[in-house]
Amino acid sequence: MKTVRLLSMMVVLCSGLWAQSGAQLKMDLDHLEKKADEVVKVNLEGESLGLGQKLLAVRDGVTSPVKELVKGLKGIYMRRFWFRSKDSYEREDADGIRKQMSGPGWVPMIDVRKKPDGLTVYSYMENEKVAGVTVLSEQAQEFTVVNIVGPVDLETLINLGNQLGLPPMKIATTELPQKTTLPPPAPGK
Amino acid sequence: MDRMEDELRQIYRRHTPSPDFTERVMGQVRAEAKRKFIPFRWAAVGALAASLTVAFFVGRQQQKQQRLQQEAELAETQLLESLQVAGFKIGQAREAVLRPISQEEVRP
Repeated sequence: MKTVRLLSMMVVLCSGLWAQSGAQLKMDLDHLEKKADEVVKVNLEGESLGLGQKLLAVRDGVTSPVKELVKGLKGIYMRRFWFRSKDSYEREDADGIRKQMSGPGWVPMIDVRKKPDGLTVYSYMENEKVAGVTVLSEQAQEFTVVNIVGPVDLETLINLGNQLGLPPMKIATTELPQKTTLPPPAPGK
Repeated sequence: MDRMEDELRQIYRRHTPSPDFTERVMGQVRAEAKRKFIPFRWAAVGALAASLTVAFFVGRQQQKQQRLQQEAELAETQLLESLQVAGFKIGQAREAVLRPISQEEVRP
């Protein structure tokens, strides 16, 4: 009986490990959250992601490459922090995230650094295919990390960034702490 | 033939009802009405209970549906927003890589 229980526990543990992709990062950024004046957190996986995927699949005005991109996703996690004053955080604050991407499978694709700003794009490779992407953007008053788990077509993603083939966006902020809010800076500034 | 006539006469002879005849008949009518009313009442109560149960479950289902719809819309918005942010940043990075280096940047 003990052996059966032990075996079933092992099966459960192994399936949990198997289910979690190596492309998923541990978003351990509580220290930055405390410093930030505005926070946006997105954690989409499992059922909630499935709901969004289903709804998007039947939406008019969304191009089929976007639908294809979304369909294959296994998880998406985003953290955006805005700071009232410059130099509110250190580059080292994101070391935890960077360290995770020094592990196997992760490849730094683009690294643009123009002090004090930095923009790094990492891809996670699995069987020679992109199985995840992480974008790490560090600006004087803004810190953003987006971790996408699943196959990603970068071209579609860039087009999406230019808001091509999309209905007008609503801004959804979740888990916003009760702090004085700053208007989000204009994109690209 | 006589026997038959006798029998008929016996059957059709005038009977005088007993003094409590009306009371007994009315009592039976009342009892019968009551007997019929009880199942009807229970049926009405049952139908009402069934209607309420159905209404409760339909309402709950609608609430669940509405909640799911709201969750789906929020998830969809968050999903697109996150992808847009990522796409925008990757586009920026690509532009920076593809941008020709200016003379100012080349000079030491």
